[in-house]
Amino acid sequence: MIGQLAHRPDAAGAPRLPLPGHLDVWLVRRPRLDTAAGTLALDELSEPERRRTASFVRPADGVTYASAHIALRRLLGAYLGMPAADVPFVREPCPGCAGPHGRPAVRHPDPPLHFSLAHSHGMAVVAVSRAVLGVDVERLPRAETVEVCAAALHPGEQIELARLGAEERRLAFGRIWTRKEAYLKALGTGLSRDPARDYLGADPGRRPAGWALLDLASGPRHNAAVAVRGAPPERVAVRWLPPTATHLDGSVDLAAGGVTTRVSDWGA
Amino acid sequence: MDLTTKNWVFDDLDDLDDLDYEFARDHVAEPEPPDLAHLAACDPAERTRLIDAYVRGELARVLRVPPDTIDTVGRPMNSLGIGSINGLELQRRMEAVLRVDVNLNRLLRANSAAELIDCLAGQLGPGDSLHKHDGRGDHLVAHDVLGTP
Repeated sequence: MIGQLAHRPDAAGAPRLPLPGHLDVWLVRRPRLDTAAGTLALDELSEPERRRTASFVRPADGVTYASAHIALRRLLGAYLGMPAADVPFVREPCPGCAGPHGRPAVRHPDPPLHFSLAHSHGMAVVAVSRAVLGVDVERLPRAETVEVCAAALHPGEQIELARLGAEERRLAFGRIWTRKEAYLKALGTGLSRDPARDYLGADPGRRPAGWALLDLASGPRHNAAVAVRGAPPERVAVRWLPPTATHLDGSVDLAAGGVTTRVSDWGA
Repeated sequence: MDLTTKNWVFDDLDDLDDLDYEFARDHVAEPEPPDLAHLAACDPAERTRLIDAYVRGELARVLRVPPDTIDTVGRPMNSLGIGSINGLELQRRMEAVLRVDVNLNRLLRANSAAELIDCLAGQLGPGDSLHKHDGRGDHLVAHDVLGTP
């Protein structure tokens, strides 16, 4: 899987920024628990990231977090042409209060690329583009959870959910929520903005103007979605990051094969 | 690894996440709602003890673990396993039982469950408590004017 353009995580090189109009999505799955501690490149994480890795009650969550952040550093290092451990992370100003807790970025102002990271129960998603974007992935919620939470959604979303049977409602809630959180992350507000305020339901024509929302194929147990500001991307590439890419001796290959599609092919 | 959409390797997530996913096998417990009048009348230590027990119970329900395994002091909510969806569930359950407004964003960013418990204890004390917030401003927990009987 390591091709000619593979980027060693400790190496500097020429930046290979995504082209304007292109959206790169990388799916990451956590490694097995019994081998993760010996294989993951934990030394590339910052001290706060390592502390966070160790703080999770469930070891599986810690390994998911660590593999997601190693993958993020290595991917951004490859795009930016710098060692993974040196990728600078800053926070953009919050659009609500201007405090330093807005979108994560590699520079502010005028970052060379935009990225977003999400992880949930064994799976992580990294999205990279020249446009502002947000991504989310969530495990499929329980029916009981949907029952409790549906009233927090936009009225139009609630109506759509009420028409569905229990199993379909779980799937639909997961799709709505991941679109919503991806959108709110892209806005920079996160969940400080009321989840009932914006419609992210099944009708694309009613969704926020000026944004493209894409549902991602993410298997039977997760929902995932990306929100991109502006026109829909001309090209969307969705790829699994090979498990070895987060290993101590691994590297990422930005030219790896994957699924490349036009945005009109997506079911969002 | 197969990289086509038709044969993406979702199936072999089974070996990694089966125990996480099978909700039916998880621990499920219904927490005992505290009496709001008693919470307002009792002394602060008793109020905190009762709210601690209730919040542990709600955390245990959404996380599907036994209440006595919840670490309320040493870990942020995310490290306990609280994400946006089960955080929303936790928020809505607590708001319905305790008749307060809980800020979801602040809940998800709380440094520990104890921070939430302390805020709830301040909010659910006597009516003239200096700790009470009226819903304006960016508080983790605020007085739910409309929801108060």
